[in-house]
Amino acid sequence: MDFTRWLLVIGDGMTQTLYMTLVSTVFAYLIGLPLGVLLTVTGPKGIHPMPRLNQVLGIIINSLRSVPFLILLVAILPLTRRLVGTTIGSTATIPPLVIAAAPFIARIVESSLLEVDPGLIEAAESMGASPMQIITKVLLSEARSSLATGAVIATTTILGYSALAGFTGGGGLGAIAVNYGYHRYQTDVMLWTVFLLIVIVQVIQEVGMRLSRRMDARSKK
Amino acid sequence: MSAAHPPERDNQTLFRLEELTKIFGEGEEQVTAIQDIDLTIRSGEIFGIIGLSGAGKSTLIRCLNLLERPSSGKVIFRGVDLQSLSKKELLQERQKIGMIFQNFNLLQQRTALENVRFPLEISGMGNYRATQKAREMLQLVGLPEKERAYPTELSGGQQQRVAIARALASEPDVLLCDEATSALDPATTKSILELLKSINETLGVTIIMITHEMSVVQAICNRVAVIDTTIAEVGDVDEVFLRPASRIARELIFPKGELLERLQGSRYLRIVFDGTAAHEPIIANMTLACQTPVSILSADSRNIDGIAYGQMIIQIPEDQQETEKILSYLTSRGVTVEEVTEATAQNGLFSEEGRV
Ligand SMILES: Nc1ncnc2c1ncn2[C@@H]1O[C@H](COP(=O)(O)OP(=O)(O)O)[C@@H](O)[C@H]1O
Ligand SMILES: [Mg+2]
Repeated sequence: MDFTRWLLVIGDGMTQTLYMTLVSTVFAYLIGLPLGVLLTVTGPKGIHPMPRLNQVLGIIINSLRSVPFLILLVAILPLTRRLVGTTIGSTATIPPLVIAAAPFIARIVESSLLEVDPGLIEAAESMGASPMQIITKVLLSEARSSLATGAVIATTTILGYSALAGFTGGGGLGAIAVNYGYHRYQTDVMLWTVFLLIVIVQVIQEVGMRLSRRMDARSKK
Repeated sequence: MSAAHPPERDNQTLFRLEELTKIFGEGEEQVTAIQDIDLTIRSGEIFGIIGLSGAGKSTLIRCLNLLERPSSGKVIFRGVDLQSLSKKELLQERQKIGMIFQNFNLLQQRTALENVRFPLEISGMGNYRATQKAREMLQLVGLPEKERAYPTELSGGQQQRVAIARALASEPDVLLCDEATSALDPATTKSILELLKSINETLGVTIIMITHEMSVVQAICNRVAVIDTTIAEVGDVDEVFLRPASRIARELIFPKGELLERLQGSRYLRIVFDGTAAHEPIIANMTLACQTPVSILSADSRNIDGIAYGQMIIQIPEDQQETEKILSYLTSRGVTVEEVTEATAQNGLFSEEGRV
């Protein structure tokens, strides 16, 4: 394989990996963030305890989280086809990624929100803040740095899952590693994709953590 | 509100609590935090609520704005039964009841100014007016130059000042203080108490102070309730301090273990400074006047605005004549004295018989 073609293949794989990861992360947060807030708010120590709803949510989230990603991916193929019209390629990888990541994100968000000092919530309540005001002005606002750290973890996890999807016809760097490294024994190509995946994770990690620190007023001196 | 109990409408009464009881948990694990609390708090006063740890003080104060829902009984604020209000009405009412805490509870991701703006944002006040008002409040608590500082950049005393500014921003009728000075050193405590007192005087805000320290009550409160799940006694601060009627009040005025350890047959006097004997080194003068050395066992007094409050336990000589001399000197100087013996201490500390 000549160098230019190789570059094209790898470049295309990287673009697809980033596309899958970012779009899936955004959609997974659209579902996972409200779910995480709901889990916290309706929890036993929440501002609006609803034990039944909280339990049901907990069971659904835990069940989804215990299904291995590859199995989930295959199991929801009909749904995927219905949503995006195909079951192969990068776009087809997005629905399973979103469904796998949303419950995970809900838990990450919940744990960030639980870190907020209950005293702050009590103070806001004493000032007559409504539950919605407490969610936006206290919980989400105070936890923003921790939420950003969580987003870094979520994004890198989704990136890892997206590479797995290469086995079932998904696109991206994972697919390149499978096609060239696993099926055609081109170990060097596989090593390159692994190296690129590591670089992407490092960049997300570095940039994300830096943002997280900058968001935290406590670290300002 | 039922027709049978028309709300009290005189403008003297700010809070009325009727048979307030709060029970936590169920079955075996039930804890009665407060029981049958009847209390009237008047507009404009500084009211102290004192008790040992676990006495139910926090539970009681949290019932005043319904952060805690009482198990039974009523909380009547400005003639309105708070439990009869809708959720929305209650949130409105809470804007008239400010609260500060032991740990300040400032939002860490907001500057001092943004913290003070918080209750104004909640009430829907416009951006510009809210900022103006917040600046005014920071000025009031003496921190105008700290408006851009984050809580982590402020000392404990400064944080409590910001918290006070925040609690007062919505112009409440009353300020609830739950151990507001317990996390502060004595000098800072004093300055915060002075600030609260001046707020009470200049703005007319009623203050309800929860504390486990008698010195705090003495420093700024007009009246005090001593609680131990139920109310042990209520009265003017000077009265309660000079003539504690309940065992728990005596215990708060002087911890039992500390005293018993030291009483070994000798005779002791408890000297109470209630602010009348000002600007005078009384013990030094007494030693000079009576030519009798005394040893001080314990002293717990504070100087607020140049006036001494507190108490001192001194050992007195065996000689009856010298004792008389000391007693008459001290009484002539306007301090209250009572003799403490091992028996009276054991028996609930300073009982009526023990008084000189
Ligand atoms: N949320 C709660 N759940 C169960 N028990 C509680 C709760 N809050 C307070 N208590 C109990 O009620 C009693 C009084 O507590 P508290 O009002 O905090 O006392 P204080 O403020 O005087 O120290 C204590 O025995 C405490 O353990
Ligand atoms: Mg307490």
